[in-house]
Amino acid sequence: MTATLGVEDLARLLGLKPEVVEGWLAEGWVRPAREGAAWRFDEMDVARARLIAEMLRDLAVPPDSVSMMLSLLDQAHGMRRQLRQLLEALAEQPPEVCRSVLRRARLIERE
Amino acid sequence: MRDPYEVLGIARDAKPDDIKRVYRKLAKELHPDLNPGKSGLEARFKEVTAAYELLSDPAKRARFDKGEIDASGAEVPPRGFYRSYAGAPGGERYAEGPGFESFDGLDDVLADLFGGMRGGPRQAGSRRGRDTAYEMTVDFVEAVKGARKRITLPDGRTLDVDIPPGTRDGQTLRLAGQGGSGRGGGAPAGDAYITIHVPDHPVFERRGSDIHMELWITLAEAVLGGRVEVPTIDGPVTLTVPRGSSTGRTLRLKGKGVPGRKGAQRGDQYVTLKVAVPDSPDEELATFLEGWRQRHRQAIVRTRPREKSQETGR
Repeated sequence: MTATLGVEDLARLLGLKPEVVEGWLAEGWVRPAREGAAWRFDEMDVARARLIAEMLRDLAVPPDSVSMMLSLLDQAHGMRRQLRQLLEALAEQPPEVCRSVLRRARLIERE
Repeated sequence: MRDPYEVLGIARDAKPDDIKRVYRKLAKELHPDLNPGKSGLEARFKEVTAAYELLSDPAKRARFDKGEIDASGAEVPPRGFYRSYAGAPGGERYAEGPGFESFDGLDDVLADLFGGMRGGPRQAGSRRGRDTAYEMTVDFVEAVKGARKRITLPDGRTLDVDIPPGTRDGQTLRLAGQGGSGRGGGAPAGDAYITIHVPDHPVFERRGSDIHMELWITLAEAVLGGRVEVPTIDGPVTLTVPRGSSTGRTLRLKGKGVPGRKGAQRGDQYVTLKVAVPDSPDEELATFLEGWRQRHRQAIVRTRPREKSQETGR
């Protein structure tokens, strides 16, 4: 249903010049897959690029702060991912182990 | 939809700069992607964005103030927020850094995994289904004329999407009740939002409700005039080229443009002529022009303002 987009397509979708998107690629803000000489933006890359466009255009985030904000977001998502994995692993343990760990971690107040 | 002034919390006579300032502040607080751990922001963000969309456009704002359009005029898709990808399988592509300190916002994970363990049962109330966002590509003529397209959703369902006539590149359609199903008894399903991509057409170019194209004619047609076939989105029609038509002359095919929405008038098609001289002019033509040149002097303005003339053709 959704094909990947090239730089031109993405630029048009976001109402930007292709050079702007190329600048983001050079900064490493988006890292789409590559097919020969062409960049291939999948849905996640498009969503990320849209977020960058909104930060710059709608939220007036200074361009030199974008790297920092993206890095913080990436860290947050990295942490959430690991936490989710940890909780999923915990869920496979016997119920009393789960309860004990969660209580110790003060994630549940009482039984 | 609520009153956009109320949504942004501004006065009816707020200045454009104030509206922008208020929107930026709210959007920074509410943008779901800038709040990976907070749930429930999307609806509010969407509302604020729609309100801003309406009030930041002086024309739309004026029409809204006069009561000509209502607040639902500005439909804003929820689209794929970045965080929905970053949290999904495959999303680790951009993830950074080890360690975790904050459990904030992972209540949903805890609740899903450990059910009623968090001191008392979690409210088992019904919840409206999620809004979902999709993208699809529709070819130029289909988008202009309208079409019905079937798409297959990631969950295997198929959906018939009516592309209304005059759909533009980047436009979003909302299919009420076609998003995720609701949870709990009687909870309504969410909506599906579909962003339409329209690739450029090799021949036609859309400008507003008009369609522009270039048409090559022969030297003889340019000098003598004639009837030529022109493609339109409804199929070929015959166009009368007036005698003595130069490159750049633009003829209008009335009512052959983009169909108007909701009773609005249909646009026109503009055909700009381009004269093609034979690749290798034959002796007869060359000899004729040699003689003609000696006996005539063609008055010509070699540089002209880049202005488009528009005439009615056909």
